[in-house]
Amino acid sequence: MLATHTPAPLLQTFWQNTARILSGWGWVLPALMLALLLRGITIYLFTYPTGPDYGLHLLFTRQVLETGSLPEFSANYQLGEATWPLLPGGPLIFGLVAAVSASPVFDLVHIVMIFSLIECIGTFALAQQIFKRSDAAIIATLITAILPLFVDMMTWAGYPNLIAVSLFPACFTVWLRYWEHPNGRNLALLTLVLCGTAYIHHISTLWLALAFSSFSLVMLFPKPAETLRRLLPIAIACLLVGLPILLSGVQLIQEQNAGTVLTTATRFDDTRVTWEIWARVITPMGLLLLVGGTAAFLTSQSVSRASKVLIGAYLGITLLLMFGWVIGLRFYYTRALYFLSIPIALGTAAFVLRWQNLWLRALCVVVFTLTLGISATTQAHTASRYFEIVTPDIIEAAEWLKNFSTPSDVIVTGTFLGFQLPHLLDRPQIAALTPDLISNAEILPIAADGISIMMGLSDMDAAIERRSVDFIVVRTRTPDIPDPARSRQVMTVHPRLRLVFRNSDVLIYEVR
Amino acid sequence: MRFASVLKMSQSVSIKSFITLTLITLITVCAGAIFLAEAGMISYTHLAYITAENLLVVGAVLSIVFVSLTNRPQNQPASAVKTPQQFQLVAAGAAIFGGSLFTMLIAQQQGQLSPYDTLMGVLMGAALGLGVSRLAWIRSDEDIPPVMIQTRVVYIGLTVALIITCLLRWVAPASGLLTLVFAPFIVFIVPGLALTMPLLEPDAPFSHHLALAPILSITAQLIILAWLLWLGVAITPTAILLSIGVLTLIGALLRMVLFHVAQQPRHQESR
Repeated sequence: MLATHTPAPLLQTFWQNTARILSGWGWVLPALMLALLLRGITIYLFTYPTGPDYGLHLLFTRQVLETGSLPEFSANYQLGEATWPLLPGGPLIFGLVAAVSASPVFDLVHIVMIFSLIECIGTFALAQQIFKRSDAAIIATLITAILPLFVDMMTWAGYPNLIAVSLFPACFTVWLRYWEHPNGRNLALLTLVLCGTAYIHHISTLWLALAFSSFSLVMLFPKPAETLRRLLPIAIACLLVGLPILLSGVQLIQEQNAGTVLTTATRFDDTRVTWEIWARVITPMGLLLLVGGTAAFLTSQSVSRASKVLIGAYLGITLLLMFGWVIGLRFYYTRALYFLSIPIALGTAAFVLRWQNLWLRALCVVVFTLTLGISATTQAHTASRYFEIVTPDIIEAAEWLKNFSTPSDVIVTGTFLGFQLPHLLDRPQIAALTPDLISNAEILPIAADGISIMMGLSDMDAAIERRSVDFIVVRTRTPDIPDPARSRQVMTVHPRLRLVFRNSDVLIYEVR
Repeated sequence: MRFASVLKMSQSVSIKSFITLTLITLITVCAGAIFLAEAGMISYTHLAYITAENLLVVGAVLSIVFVSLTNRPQNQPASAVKTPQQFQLVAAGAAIFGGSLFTMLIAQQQGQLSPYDTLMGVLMGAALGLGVSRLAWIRSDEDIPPVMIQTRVVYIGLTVALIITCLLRWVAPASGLLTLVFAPFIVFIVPGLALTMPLLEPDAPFSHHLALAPILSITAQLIILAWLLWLGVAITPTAILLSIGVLTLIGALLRMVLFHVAQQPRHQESR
């Protein structure tokens, strides 16, 4: 008798102890590590982190750390005439670690990986807050960990956007906590989290502001007095604590003429969401999860009205900006795809819980996770190779230019390299950018000249004269201008251009 | 009358079963085609993949029908739970099957299997195993006594970490220990944890503090930087380290004040 009963309590004790240690988000530790490795492909498996965008963001950070204040113009980039069209919070996070560690900021790109953990833990907390059950929280976290959209954003290094989106789940959790229990502690938490997050990335701040405004409007209708009692303290506290952040936002809106851009700018027409882009960033399975998940979430009887309104408002804003051309709204439409993570993760949890049969629930979790996971892995490898901008060969080319050019020589580069070369080489540069990639309108003419030169258009010679161009740098492995074949042909036969340097990644032409 | 309602109910049950079966079959078959395409075994223009893409669009519509047919309180336990032990076996199966399939697909996709890919496969298996095992978890989290930690211990730990960081910044700037361990800990955890101690409920488990500490650390520091920049104070390493110290101190003082306020009614009651 004793021999048959001894293992059961032992096993029970073992499971109890394991459950105690894993209580809370400990259950999703493997998912957190998986998120870290999936996003880390872009950083750990290449000589230098992939993607163009971090070149300019960290250059901004370096300027802040060197001067102690916010720089107005970017050094070297677009002949030093480009203002920084951004809220500084994203780059400043790298600056914090650089200042504390005394390491060069460009050696600290890897800290962006920490936000994959923050994102997943935040999603766990949000799902727990909404569903009040840990199985839903674990499903939502698993899906967040392996969503291809984060991996995609990592490949092109949209770090401030990624950081802000990573903080959204925690923002929503704190918001809903306050809405449930509007006390001083929750108000203080919410104020700190909202104000800080709003300082990180301008487009993400727009999302937050629109989502919370829509939420407030919808909640005002049935119970205006009760809603106002909750909203007014938030407004007052955020105004007091986040005054400088609010002023930065207003200044940015004025400088960039945001109202006019959103209503009249035609440069975003090429960024309309197509099925091809959807399939790459969200995946076809993601469509099913978004549609079915949203339906399951919004009709769920166990989810509170406030949660439904908040997530519904956020999704509504995302869809509005994603398909804005339908109503005449001008925006970088494809960027809206990267804001779908929360609706997909929470929706998947609600959708899976609709299956009555436990085995089918388990099958769904396995199939959804594996399908999205393998798509994310493919995306991480293929897109990282495409966006591998800084390589040892690029460093070699930058060194060559440093040695064989004078400090005033003007250098023209393609799009991707144009984001990275300014911090590698202290020379005035022109980056050939298509208009849809430009946030600050004052550099449109310079960027257009860059495109004319790189693509060998009819006004190429005039642009070379106008900008006093001395060198043209062409990447050979992956194209970073719209028509690379044409560009190479023109460069080869142009009488004023002479090939002066080449390696496996770069060709440098000197203008005579 | 009764016959009619029974007939209606049985029709509804059969429609629900049909939709459920169709949807799960569609999802599984389409997932198979996606696996083949992502692993490079068929191209993205292959008929099977294109069909799967189109079927998933149909599946999206079907999922709305499925949701409308299954609108019930979600706290209702799922059926077919025989024994938790039996389901633990399924979880183990999901871990082994999921991990192996993921690893195999990556190997096929990359043409080789690196230690990095193997680790991802292992983690995928573990994540699936734990996730699936949790689906059959009947008890709520509240039944498990959470890990609590003493406030004093936390603040002593944070202060020690701050002192070590300042020392390292002075004697070994840019060293590996400082860059990879202490600086991220100081920036991403210390101020946030110092602030969650007073701002979360006193009985909140330590995992809740750890979950909110990073976001609170970052946002609180960014608010301070925004104020410094607005007031024209230069952002220097000293200013940043000082601001982290000040945030930690504010957290500790706030905790002390709130604790004192919470204790007062008890003293009055005892008198």
